[in-house]
Amino acid sequence: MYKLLFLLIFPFISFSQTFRLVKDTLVLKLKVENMSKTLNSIDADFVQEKNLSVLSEKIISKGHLMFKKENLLRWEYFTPSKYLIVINKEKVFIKDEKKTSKYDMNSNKVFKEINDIMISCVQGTIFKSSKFKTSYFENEKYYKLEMTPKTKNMKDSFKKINLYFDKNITSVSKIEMIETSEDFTLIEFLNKKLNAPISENSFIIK
Amino acid sequence: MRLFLKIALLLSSILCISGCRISKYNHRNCDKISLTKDLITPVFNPNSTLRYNTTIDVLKNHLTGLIIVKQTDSITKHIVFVTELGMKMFDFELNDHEIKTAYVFEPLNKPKLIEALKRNFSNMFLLNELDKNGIECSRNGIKFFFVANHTMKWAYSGPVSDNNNLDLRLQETFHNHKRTSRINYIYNVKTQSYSHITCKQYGLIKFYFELTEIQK
Repeated sequence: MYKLLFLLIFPFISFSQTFRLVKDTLVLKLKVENMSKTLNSIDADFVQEKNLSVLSEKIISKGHLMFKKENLLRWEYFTPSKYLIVINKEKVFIKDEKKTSKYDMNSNKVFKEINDIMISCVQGTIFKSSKFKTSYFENEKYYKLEMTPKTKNMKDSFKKINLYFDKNITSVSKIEMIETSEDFTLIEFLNKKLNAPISENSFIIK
Repeated sequence: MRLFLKIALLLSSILCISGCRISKYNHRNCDKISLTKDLITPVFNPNSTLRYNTTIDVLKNHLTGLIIVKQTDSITKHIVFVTELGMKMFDFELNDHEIKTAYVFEPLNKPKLIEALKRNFSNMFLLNELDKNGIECSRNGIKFFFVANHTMKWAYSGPVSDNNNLDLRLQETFHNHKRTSRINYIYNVKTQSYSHITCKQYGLIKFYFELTEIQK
Protein backbone atom coordinates (compact mmCIF):
# COMPACT_ATOMS: atom_id res chain seq x y z
CA MET A 1 0.00 0.00 0.00
CA TYR A 2 2.76 2.40 1.02
CA LYS A 3 4.78 1.44 -2.06
CA LEU A 4 1.78 2.16 -4.27
CA LEU A 5 1.20 5.50 -2.57
CA PHE A 6 4.87 6.36 -3.00
CA LEU A 7 4.76 5.46 -6.70
CA LEU A 8 1.71 7.66 -7.16
CA ILE A 9 3.16 10.63 -5.29
CA PHE A 10 6.77 10.34 -6.46
CA PRO A 11 6.29 11.84 -9.96
CA PHE A 12 4.79 14.97 -8.37
CA ILE A 13 7.59 15.24 -5.82
CA SER A 14 10.25 14.82 -8.47
CA PHE A 15 8.46 17.29 -10.76
CA SER A 16 8.41 19.95 -8.07
CA GLN A 17 12.13 19.40 -7.40
CA THR A 18 13.16 19.51 -11.06
CA PHE A 19 14.89 22.68 -12.15
CA ARG A 20 14.66 24.00 -15.68
CA LEU A 21 16.77 26.65 -17.40
CA VAL A 22 15.62 30.23 -16.91
CA LYS A 23 14.65 31.72 -20.28
CA ASP A 24 15.14 35.39 -19.50
CA THR A 25 18.37 35.46 -17.49
CA LEU A 26 18.74 39.22 -17.93
CA VAL A 27 15.58 39.93 -15.93
CA LEU A 28 16.65 37.49 -13.22
CA LYS A 29 20.13 39.07 -13.00
CA LEU A 30 18.55 42.51 -12.64
CA LYS A 31 16.24 41.26 -9.89
CA VAL A 32 19.14 39.71 -7.96
CA GLU A 33 21.20 42.89 -8.40
CA ASN A 34 18.30 45.00 -7.13
CA MET A 35 17.92 42.69 -4.16
CA SER A 36 21.58 42.99 -3.20
CA LYS A 37 21.40 46.78 -3.59
CA THR A 38 18.38 47.14 -1.29
CA LEU A 39 19.52 44.50 1.20
CA ASN A 40 21.34 46.28 3.99
CA SER A 41 21.21 43.63 6.70
CA ILE A 42 20.20 40.03 7.39
CA ASP A 43 19.51 38.46 10.75
CA ALA A 44 18.73 34.75 10.45
CA ASP A 45 19.11 31.31 11.95
CA PHE A 46 20.69 28.61 9.85
CA VAL A 47 20.83 24.85 9.64
CA GLN A 48 23.85 23.31 7.98
CA GLU A 49 23.77 19.75 6.65
CA LYS A 50 27.04 18.12 5.75
CA ASN A 51 26.75 15.08 3.51
CA LEU A 52 29.84 12.87 3.48
CA SER A 53 30.05 9.84 1.22
CA VAL A 54 31.62 7.78 4.03
CA LEU A 55 28.82 8.61 6.43
CA SER A 56 25.25 7.44 5.94
CA GLU A 57 23.79 10.12 8.21
CA LYS A 58 24.15 13.87 7.81
CA ILE A 59 26.17 16.06 10.16
CA ILE A 60 23.79 18.77 11.31
CA SER A 61 25.08 22.08 12.68
CA LYS A 62 22.90 24.96 13.81
CA GLY A 63 23.69 28.59 14.30
CA HIS A 64 22.91 32.24 13.73
CA LEU A 65 23.95 34.69 11.06
CA MET A 66 24.13 38.47 11.03
CA PHE A 67 25.17 40.46 8.00
CA LYS A 68 25.41 44.20 7.61
CA LYS A 69 26.63 46.27 4.70
CA GLU A 70 29.48 46.81 3.99
CA ASN A 71 31.51 43.75 4.78
CA LEU A 72 30.31 42.94 8.29
CA LEU A 73 29.43 39.32 8.99
CA ARG A 74 28.85 37.31 12.15
CA TRP A 75 28.53 33.59 11.49
CA GLU A 76 28.00 31.67 14.72
CA TYR A 77 27.57 27.94 15.38
CA PHE A 78 25.87 26.71 18.54
CA THR A 79 25.81 22.95 17.88
CA PRO A 80 27.56 20.50 17.73
CA SER A 81 30.22 22.90 19.01
CA LYS A 82 30.48 26.61 19.64
CA TYR A 83 32.32 28.36 16.86
CA LEU A 84 32.23 31.96 15.72
CA ILE A 85 33.55 33.73 12.66
CA VAL A 86 33.35 37.51 12.52
CA ILE A 87 34.37 39.44 9.45
CA ASN A 88 34.78 43.12 10.16
CA LYS A 89 35.95 44.84 6.99
CA GLU A 90 39.61 43.79 6.64
CA LYS A 91 39.79 41.73 9.82
CA VAL A 92 38.70 38.14 10.46
CA PHE A 93 38.13 36.85 14.00
CA ILE A 94 37.70 33.16 14.69
CA LYS A 95 36.67 32.07 18.14
CA ASP A 96 36.33 28.43 19.12
CA GLU A 97 35.87 26.88 22.55
CA LYS A 98 39.54 27.36 23.35
CA LYS A 99 41.01 30.19 21.38
CA THR A 100 40.31 33.47 19.62
CA SER A 101 42.38 34.16 16.54
CA LYS A 102 42.61 37.36 14.57
CA TYR A 103 43.70 37.56 10.95
CA ASP A 104 44.29 40.38 8.55
CA MET A 105 42.52 39.61 5.32
CA ASN A 106 45.14 41.30 3.16
CA SER A 107 47.95 39.19 4.57
CA ASN A 108 46.17 35.89 4.11
CA LYS A 109 45.05 34.86 0.64
CA VAL A 110 42.94 31.92 1.85
CA PHE A 111 40.98 34.12 4.27
CA LYS A 112 40.47 36.71 1.57
CA GLU A 113 38.94 34.05 -0.69
CA ILE A 114 36.78 32.60 2.12
CA ASN A 115 35.63 36.10 3.05
CA ASP A 116 34.75 36.93 -0.54
CA ILE A 117 32.74 33.72 -0.90
CA MET A 118 30.92 34.07 2.44
CA ILE A 119 29.97 37.72 2.02
CA SER A 120 29.03 37.44 -1.63
CA CYS A 121 27.00 34.26 -1.01
CA VAL A 122 25.01 35.88 1.80
CA GLN A 123 24.56 39.05 -0.23
CA GLY A 124 23.74 37.09 -3.37
CA THR A 125 26.34 38.85 -5.47
CA ILE A 126 28.66 35.90 -6.01
CA PHE A 127 27.23 35.29 -9.48
CA LYS A 128 28.99 38.48 -10.62
CA SER A 129 32.39 37.04 -9.66
CA SER A 130 34.78 36.36 -12.53
CA LYS A 131 35.87 33.19 -10.70
CA PHE A 132 32.64 31.36 -11.61
CA LYS A 133 30.59 30.54 -14.66
CA THR A 134 26.91 30.93 -13.70
CA SER A 135 23.90 29.04 -15.05
CA TYR A 136 20.35 30.02 -14.10
CA PHE A 137 17.57 27.55 -13.23
CA GLU A 138 14.14 27.68 -11.67
CA ASN A 139 11.34 25.50 -10.36
CA GLU A 140 8.04 26.32 -8.67
CA LYS A 141 9.66 27.40 -5.45
CA TYR A 142 13.17 28.65 -6.15
CA TYR A 143 15.57 30.25 -8.57
CA LYS A 144 18.85 28.38 -8.55
CA LEU A 145 22.13 30.01 -9.56
CA GLU A 146 24.57 27.23 -10.34
CA MET A 147 28.14 28.45 -10.19
CA THR A 148 31.01 26.42 -11.60
CA PRO A 149 34.51 27.55 -10.63
CA LYS A 150 36.80 28.80 -13.39
CA THR A 151 40.03 29.40 -11.44
CA LYS A 152 42.36 26.64 -10.25
CA ASN A 153 42.09 27.55 -6.55
CA MET A 154 38.32 27.42 -6.66
CA LYS A 155 38.31 24.24 -8.75
CA ASP A 156 40.50 22.59 -6.10
CA SER A 157 37.91 23.36 -3.43
CA PHE A 158 34.52 23.24 -5.10
CA LYS A 159 32.89 21.48 -7.97
CA LYS A 160 29.91 23.85 -7.76
CA ILE A 161 28.24 26.38 -5.51
CA ASN A 162 24.47 26.66 -5.85
CA LEU A 163 22.54 29.65 -4.54
CA TYR A 164 18.79 29.32 -4.06
CA PHE A 165 16.51 32.36 -3.98
CA ASP A 166 12.79 32.30 -3.24
CA LYS A 167 10.65 33.40 -6.17
CA ASN A 168 10.22 36.92 -4.78
CA ILE A 169 14.02 37.23 -4.64
CA THR A 170 14.14 38.91 -1.26
CA SER A 171 17.33 37.16 -0.10
CA VAL A 172 19.32 33.93 -0.41
CA SER A 173 17.30 30.99 0.95
CA LYS A 174 19.87 28.18 0.68
CA ILE A 175 23.51 27.72 -0.25
CA GLU A 176 24.78 24.38 -1.50
CA MET A 177 28.52 23.78 -1.76
CA ILE A 178 29.50 20.70 -3.71
CA GLU A 179 33.09 19.59 -3.29
CA THR A 180 35.22 17.87 -5.90
CA SER A 181 34.70 14.60 -4.02
CA GLU A 182 30.91 15.02 -4.45
CA ASP A 183 30.49 15.55 -0.69
CA PHE A 184 28.29 18.55 -0.18
CA THR A 185 27.14 21.08 2.40
CA LEU A 186 23.67 22.59 2.39
CA ILE A 187 23.03 25.72 4.46
CA GLU A 188 19.43 26.81 4.83
CA PHE A 189 18.50 30.19 6.32
CA LEU A 190 15.44 30.36 8.56
CA ASN A 191 13.55 33.03 10.53
CA LYS A 192 15.05 35.74 8.36
CA LYS A 193 14.75 39.39 9.32
CA LEU A 194 15.76 41.58 6.41
CA ASN A 195 16.96 45.16 6.82
CA ALA A 196 16.32 45.12 10.57
CA PRO A 197 18.71 47.29 12.61
CA ILE A 198 21.82 45.40 13.77
CA SER A 199 24.30 46.95 16.17
CA GLU A 200 27.89 47.21 14.97
CA ASN A 201 28.91 45.78 18.37
CA SER A 202 27.82 42.36 17.08
CA PHE A 203 30.83 42.43 14.77
CA ILE A 204 33.38 43.20 17.45
CA ILE A 205 35.16 40.51 19.44
CA LYS A 206 37.16 41.56 22.44
CA MET B 1 75.80 34.64 37.72
CA ARG B 2 76.05 33.92 34.00
CA LEU B 3 77.99 30.73 34.70
CA PHE B 4 75.36 29.65 37.21
CA LEU B 5 72.63 30.25 34.62
CA LYS B 6 74.55 28.25 32.02
CA ILE B 7 74.99 25.33 34.42
CA ALA B 8 71.34 25.43 35.46
CA LEU B 9 70.28 25.46 31.79
CA LEU B 10 72.60 22.56 30.97
CA LEU B 11 71.37 20.53 33.95
CA SER B 12 67.71 21.14 33.12
CA SER B 13 68.36 20.15 29.49
CA ILE B 14 70.02 16.91 30.60
CA LEU B 15 67.11 16.19 32.96
CA CYS B 16 64.60 16.93 30.24
CA ILE B 17 66.38 14.78 27.66
CA SER B 18 66.71 11.86 30.05
CA GLY B 19 63.05 12.22 31.05
CA CYS B 20 61.96 12.11 27.42
CA ARG B 21 63.96 9.00 26.68
CA ILE B 22 62.75 5.47 26.62
CA SER B 23 64.84 4.33 29.60
CA LYS B 24 61.96 4.90 32.04
CA TYR B 25 60.33 1.80 30.53
CA ASN B 26 63.24 -0.46 31.51
CA HIS B 27 61.85 -3.08 33.88
CA ARG B 28 63.20 -6.35 35.11
CA ASN B 29 60.06 -8.38 35.78
CA CYS B 30 58.28 -8.47 32.49
CA ASP B 31 56.87 -11.23 30.30
CA LYS B 32 57.30 -11.67 26.61
CA ILE B 33 53.99 -11.48 24.76
CA SER B 34 52.54 -11.12 21.32
CA LEU B 35 50.55 -7.91 21.50
CA THR B 36 47.23 -8.13 19.72
CA LYS B 37 44.35 -5.69 19.58
CA ASP B 38 42.41 -7.91 22.01
CA LEU B 39 44.72 -6.93 24.86
CA ILE B 40 43.89 -3.19 24.72
CA THR B 41 40.39 -1.73 24.98
CA PRO B 42 40.04 -0.43 21.42
CA VAL B 43 39.52 3.26 20.67
CA PHE B 44 37.64 2.41 17.52
CA ASN B 45 34.79 -0.08 17.31
CA PRO B 46 34.08 -1.24 13.73
CA ASN B 47 30.33 -1.35 14.43
CA SER B 48 30.01 2.30 15.31
CA THR B 49 31.21 5.68 14.07
CA LEU B 50 33.60 7.76 16.16
CA ARG B 51 32.97 11.50 16.28
CA TYR B 52 35.29 13.92 18.02
CA ASN B 53 35.35 17.70 18.21
CA THR B 54 38.94 18.32 17.23
CA THR B 55 41.58 21.00 17.36
CA ILE B 56 44.87 20.65 15.52
CA ASP B 57 47.71 23.07 16.26
CA VAL B 58 50.72 23.02 14.01
CA LEU B 59 53.26 25.84 13.87
CA LYS B 60 51.10 28.98 14.06
CA ASN B 61 48.04 27.33 12.56
CA HIS B 62 45.02 26.42 14.63
CA LEU B 63 42.47 24.20 12.90
CA THR B 64 39.19 23.14 14.45
CA GLY B 65 36.44 20.83 13.28
CA LEU B 66 35.10 17.35 13.50
CA ILE B 67 36.97 14.06 13.12
CA ILE B 68 34.94 11.08 11.99
CA VAL B 69 36.30 7.54 12.00
CA LYS B 70 34.19 4.95 10.24
CA GLN B 71 34.56 1.41 8.95
CA THR B 72 33.23 1.40 5.38
CA ASP B 73 33.76 -2.28 4.50
CA SER B 74 35.29 -5.35 6.10
CA ILE B 75 38.85 -4.04 5.87
CA THR B 76 38.57 -0.32 5.12
CA LYS B 77 38.32 2.53 7.62
CA HIS B 78 38.18 6.24 6.92
CA ILE B 79 39.42 9.15 9.02
CA VAL B 80 37.72 12.34 7.85
CA PHE B 81 38.28 15.86 9.15
CA VAL B 82 35.61 18.45 8.40
CA THR B 83 35.74 22.08 9.55
CA GLU B 84 32.77 23.78 11.21
CA LEU B 85 32.03 25.51 7.91
CA GLY B 86 31.58 22.09 6.34
CA MET B 87 34.80 22.01 4.31
CA LYS B 88 36.41 18.59 4.20
CA MET B 89 40.10 18.99 4.97
CA PHE B 90 41.24 15.40 4.55
CA ASP B 91 40.00 11.88 4.17
CA PHE B 92 42.45 9.07 4.92
CA GLU B 93 41.62 5.54 3.91
CA LEU B 94 43.09 2.75 5.99
CA ASN B 95 43.15 -0.94 5.32
CA ASP B 96 45.11 -3.58 7.20
CA HIS B 97 48.44 -2.61 5.72
CA GLU B 98 48.51 0.98 4.57
CA ILE B 99 47.03 4.45 4.85
CA LYS B 100 46.11 6.19 1.62
CA THR B 101 45.05 9.78 1.10
CA ALA B 102 41.56 9.62 -0.39
CA TYR B 103 41.23 13.42 -0.33
CA VAL B 104 43.13 16.40 0.94
CA PHE B 105 42.20 20.10 0.74
CA GLU B 106 44.78 21.49 -1.65
CA PRO B 107 46.32 24.19 0.63
CA LEU B 108 47.06 21.41 3.16
CA ASN B 109 48.61 19.13 0.59
CA LYS B 110 52.18 19.12 1.93
CA PRO B 111 53.81 15.67 2.06
CA LYS B 112 55.37 16.09 5.53
CA LEU B 113 52.15 17.46 7.00
CA ILE B 114 50.07 14.64 5.52
CA GLU B 115 52.56 12.05 6.73
CA ALA B 116 52.45 13.46 10.28
CA LEU B 117 48.64 13.60 10.30
CA LYS B 118 48.38 9.99 9.12
CA ARG B 119 50.91 8.75 11.65
CA ASN B 120 49.43 10.60 14.62
CA PHE B 121 45.82 9.70 13.87
CA SER B 122 46.59 6.03 13.32
CA ASN B 123 48.50 6.04 16.62
CA MET B 124 45.72 7.86 18.49
CA PHE B 125 43.01 5.50 17.24
CA LEU B 126 45.28 2.41 17.48
CA LEU B 127 44.70 1.75 13.82
CA ASN B 128 48.25 0.64 13.09
CA GLU B 129 49.09 -3.02 13.16
CA LEU B 130 49.55 -4.15 16.73
CA ASP B 131 50.39 -7.79 16.04
CA LYS B 132 53.98 -7.59 17.14
CA ASN B 133 56.10 -9.27 19.74
CA GLY B 134 56.71 -7.23 22.83
CA ILE B 135 56.71 -7.27 26.59
CA GLU B 136 54.04 -6.89 29.22
CA CYS B 137 54.78 -5.49 32.68
CA SER B 138 52.70 -4.57 35.70
CA ARG B 139 53.45 -2.12 38.47
CA ASN B 140 51.12 -0.70 41.13
CA GLY B 141 48.00 -1.82 39.27
CA ILE B 142 49.20 -0.23 36.03
CA LYS B 143 49.95 -2.49 33.14
CA PHE B 144 52.07 -1.59 30.19
CA PHE B 145 52.81 -3.10 26.83
CA PHE B 146 55.91 -2.29 24.93
CA VAL B 147 56.37 -3.22 21.27
CA ALA B 148 58.87 -2.29 18.61
CA ASN B 149 59.71 -2.66 14.96
CA HIS B 150 63.12 -1.93 13.45
CA THR B 151 62.78 1.88 13.77
CA MET B 152 59.86 2.70 16.06
CA LYS B 153 58.85 1.75 19.57
CA TRP B 154 55.44 2.07 21.18
CA ALA B 155 54.62 2.02 24.89
CA TYR B 156 51.02 1.63 26.04
CA SER B 157 50.05 1.97 29.68
CA GLY B 158 46.98 2.16 31.88
CA PRO B 159 44.87 0.28 34.42
CA VAL B 160 43.42 -3.14 33.73
CA SER B 161 39.69 -3.28 32.99
CA ASP B 162 37.16 -5.84 34.33
CA ASN B 163 37.65 -8.02 31.27
CA ASN B 164 41.40 -7.93 31.77
CA ASN B 165 42.06 -5.51 28.90
CA LEU B 166 44.30 -2.49 29.19
CA ASP B 167 42.22 0.71 29.46
CA LEU B 168 44.64 2.99 27.77
CA ARG B 169 45.77 6.13 29.61
CA LEU B 170 49.04 6.83 27.87
CA GLN B 171 50.72 5.92 24.61
CA GLU B 172 54.24 7.06 23.88
CA THR B 173 56.15 6.53 20.66
CA PHE B 174 59.91 6.55 20.28
CA HIS B 175 62.32 6.79 17.40
CA ASN B 176 65.95 5.89 18.05
CA HIS B 177 65.25 5.98 21.80
CA LYS B 178 63.90 9.53 21.61
CA ARG B 179 60.27 10.20 22.38
CA THR B 180 58.40 11.35 19.27
CA SER B 181 54.86 11.62 20.63
CA ARG B 182 52.82 11.39 23.78
CA ILE B 183 49.12 10.55 23.67
CA ASN B 184 46.90 10.84 26.74
CA TYR B 185 43.50 9.17 26.97
CA ILE B 186 40.54 9.63 29.28
CA TYR B 187 38.32 6.56 29.36
CA ASN B 188 34.62 7.03 30.12
CA VAL B 189 33.39 3.95 31.97
CA LYS B 190 29.72 4.91 31.49
CA THR B 191 29.91 5.15 27.71
CA GLN B 192 32.75 2.62 27.50
CA SER B 193 34.66 4.87 25.14
CA TYR B 194 37.66 7.15 25.16
CA SER B 195 36.03 10.52 25.70
CA HIS B 196 39.11 12.73 25.51
CA ILE B 197 42.37 12.24 23.63
CA THR B 198 45.32 14.61 23.41
CA CYS B 199 48.43 14.03 21.35
CA LYS B 200 51.67 15.96 21.36
CA GLN B 201 54.18 15.37 18.60
CA TYR B 202 57.70 16.42 19.49
CA GLY B 203 60.54 17.32 17.18
CA LEU B 204 61.23 20.19 14.83
CA ILE B 205 57.61 20.53 13.74
CA LYS B 206 55.41 20.27 16.80
CA PHE B 207 51.79 19.17 16.59
CA TYR B 208 49.12 19.26 19.24
CA PHE B 209 45.82 17.45 18.78
CA GLU B 210 42.89 17.60 21.16
CA LEU B 211 39.86 15.39 20.59
CA THR B 212 36.66 15.50 22.63
CA GLU B 213 34.10 12.83 21.89
CA ILE B 214 30.66 13.97 20.76
CA GLN B 215 28.04 11.94 22.57
CA LYS B 216 24.98 10.99 20.54
